[in-house]
Amino acid sequence: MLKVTNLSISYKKINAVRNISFEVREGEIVSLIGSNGAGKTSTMRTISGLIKAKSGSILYEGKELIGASPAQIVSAGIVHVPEGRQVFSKLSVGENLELGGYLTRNKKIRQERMDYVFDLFPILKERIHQKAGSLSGGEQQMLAIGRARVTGSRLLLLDEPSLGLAPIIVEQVFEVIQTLRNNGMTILLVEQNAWDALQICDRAYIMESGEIVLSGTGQEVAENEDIRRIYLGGKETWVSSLHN
Amino acid sequence: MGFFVAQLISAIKLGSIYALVAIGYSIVYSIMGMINFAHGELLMIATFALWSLLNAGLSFGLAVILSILITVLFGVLIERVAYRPIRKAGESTQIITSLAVSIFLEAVCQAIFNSSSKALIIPEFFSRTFKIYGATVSVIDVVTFASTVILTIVVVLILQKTRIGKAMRAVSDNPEASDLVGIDKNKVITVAFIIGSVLAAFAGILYSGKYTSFSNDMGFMLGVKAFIAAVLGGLGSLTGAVAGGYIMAVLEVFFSGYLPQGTASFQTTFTFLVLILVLLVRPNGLFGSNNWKRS
Ligand SMILES: Nc1ncnc2c1ncn2[C@@H]1O[C@H](COP(=O)(O)OP(=O)(O)O)[C@@H](O)[C@H]1O
Ligand SMILES: [Mg+2]
Repeated sequence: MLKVTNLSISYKKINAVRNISFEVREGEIVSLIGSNGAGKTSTMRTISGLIKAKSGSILYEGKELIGASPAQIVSAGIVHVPEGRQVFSKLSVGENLELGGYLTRNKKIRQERMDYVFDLFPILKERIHQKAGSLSGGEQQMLAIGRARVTGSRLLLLDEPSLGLAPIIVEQVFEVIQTLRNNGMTILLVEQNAWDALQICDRAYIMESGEIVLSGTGQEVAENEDIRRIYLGGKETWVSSLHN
Repeated sequence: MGFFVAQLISAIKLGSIYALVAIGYSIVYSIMGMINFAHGELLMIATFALWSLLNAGLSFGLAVILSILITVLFGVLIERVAYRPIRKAGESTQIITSLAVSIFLEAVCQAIFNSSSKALIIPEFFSRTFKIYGATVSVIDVVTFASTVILTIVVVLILQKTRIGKAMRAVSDNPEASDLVGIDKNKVITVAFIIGSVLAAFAGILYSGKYTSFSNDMGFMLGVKAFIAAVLGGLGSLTGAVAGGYIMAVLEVFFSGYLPQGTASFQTTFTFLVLILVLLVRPNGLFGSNNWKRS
């Protein structure tokens, strides 16, 4: 579905991403894991067209996305929920969702998608007239995901959806990700919260200083000795109790 | 009583002009983060267009409509030609460019029409007068106020209810998130300039219609004052722009009416003094949010 080949991204002096290649297949949850500054966000922002790649190729369903505008990429079927839950804070919850359907001129289809989101997140329906900025962090994350769902995209790019949320909310977010996948969405998930991400993903790529250093199924990666030491060290006991 | 009412009426009609112009500054600023100092020149363009069309023998109604369209064309063209290429450049580049556009338009206007002051002949109906509490009011005063109220309501409805209006608020609220839902920023910015230009065209025509004589520098001072009104109200806030416009006019008119003999010509100085004091207390203006930030 998405095939990234030899992608490099640089800011003036920094080579943030160097020659990475990975792919996401239809129906998968793929996670991109790595510590701060590894280049995960830069990769996501390049796929959604917010920044330009230095070189490489990004094919979505066989079509080249390099050079396309964010709007063209949304129309193509890829939606990006950025770091830090970027909602329209002065607009109402309802308006936020409606704007997810900005490119969906058919009102009926838009409404169906909004109803789906309200089923997924009943709290958003209760708060439909409230300003998005007045929601809690967890609710804003739900809204950001819901708004992405209303675009009707089939590939969802999620950048650190669990960042700064309480453990119980994090758990809800991971459940939602699985529900979305079960309902037909394909997901590329960026996380520092490696354990949770590895639990729910089909495949994972590990990024270090702008390069992909390891890949495999979620389980393979989770069992890798280096990964256990670097990312999962000490967490296993409480996390596994949470997930069993 | 009569004097006070007359002053109030003057303030309302001047405030209406400021409000119309201030909304334009505010909308463009809230969407682009840029202050369009050439905005005032749109008043000049509307007035000169109307004057030329009337001289060419067109009927008043048709000439008004065409001059509004011409103003919109210029507004959109200015954005397209001068501002779009420097959209990602720094704030100072944008400010200097808009000042350059302003000076350029004024100079071109002078080259074509020379700098002598001209008179706009509007239909006699508009200058008919009647009395309210002893003060004389003319039809154009009423039209000025009514136009401002109606246009402001229309702008609010566009922003609140329409697809493009919601997109405009979205871009102003979070430019990046608006990219990510597929909003075309160019389109939103163009619409912002269209709205600003329509309001500026009304302001220019109503202003020149009222004061009858005008010249190519008319847009400058009006533009500056309306800009200050927008800042006073809180740049980026629609309510602020309207309130700022009327407050500005009230201060100006009442200073000029009630200051002691000999100091009345300092009305603008006193007005700006009050504004400076307000901004010292509320740096983001009366209705500006104090957490205003742009990326
Ligand atoms: N806008 C930017 N300008 C300059 N450097 C940046 C910018 N954004 C990210 N970087 C740099 O690029 C590298 C990768 O950052 P990022 O993609 O945000 O990583 P991650 O999301 O994995 O934490 C870092 O060294 C970071 O400092
Ligand atoms: Mg990041």
